[in-house]
Amino acid sequence: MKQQKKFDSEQQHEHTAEQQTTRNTAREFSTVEELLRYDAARTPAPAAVAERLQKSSAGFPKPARSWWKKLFQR
Amino acid sequence: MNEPLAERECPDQTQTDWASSEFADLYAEHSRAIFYLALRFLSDPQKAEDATHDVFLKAFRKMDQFRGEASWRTWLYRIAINHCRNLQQSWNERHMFSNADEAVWENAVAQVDSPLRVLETKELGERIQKALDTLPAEYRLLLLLIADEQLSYEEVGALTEQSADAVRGKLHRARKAFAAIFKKTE
Repeated sequence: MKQQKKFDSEQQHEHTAEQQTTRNTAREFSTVEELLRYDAARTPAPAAVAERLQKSSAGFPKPARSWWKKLFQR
Repeated sequence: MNEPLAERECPDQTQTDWASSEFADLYAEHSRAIFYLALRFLSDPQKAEDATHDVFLKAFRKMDQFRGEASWRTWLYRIAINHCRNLQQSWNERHMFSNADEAVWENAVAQVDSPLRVLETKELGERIQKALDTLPAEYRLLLLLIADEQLSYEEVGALTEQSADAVRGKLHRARKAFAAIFKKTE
């Protein structure tokens, strides 16, 4: 009996999660920019780019230090 | 997925140099924006990946030419725009629009004020890409740049070689055209 209750509770939980997912996928954007920002936020650069860049940049001398400092002044 | 490179494991010296470099921080901060611009502008994930790599490598090699007159983001965008435009030209202007196409944008009747509804966010990327692909390249670029909250109208104008007022005027038409096409992709 107790086990059945647990099962019902799990089913209920799954059902709620499903509803939640459905609700989460329906969205409204008031501007085109807002829509694009949302899309951009969930579109990261693939990890492969960083890996390639790491190898490619190894063949070149490091940039002058003074410019690196500027990086942190902005 | 876009974790800071400095936090990654670095099995050899080259990787250690990279991970501890400020360039890795620059990449971590701006790679998403540059990749997104390349992806939606070029409409090809593999080409966007290559373009992002090439843009950052170019930036790495030319860091000493950065004069600090613009932000790093703007500087990287400039490199990315030039790179993407060059690529596009070599692909026979796949997205070049004719006068007939222009008339379509001028006559776009979407209500800019009405919201854009999305029922399935998993297909959102495809719908956005379809709508952007149909737009003239200039409109596409303006929308992508202005969507970046770090850029002002003036900066978008500087990047696209026009005044901020011209950007505002074109954006109004670009938004209308995008909204009209996006709604048809439902």
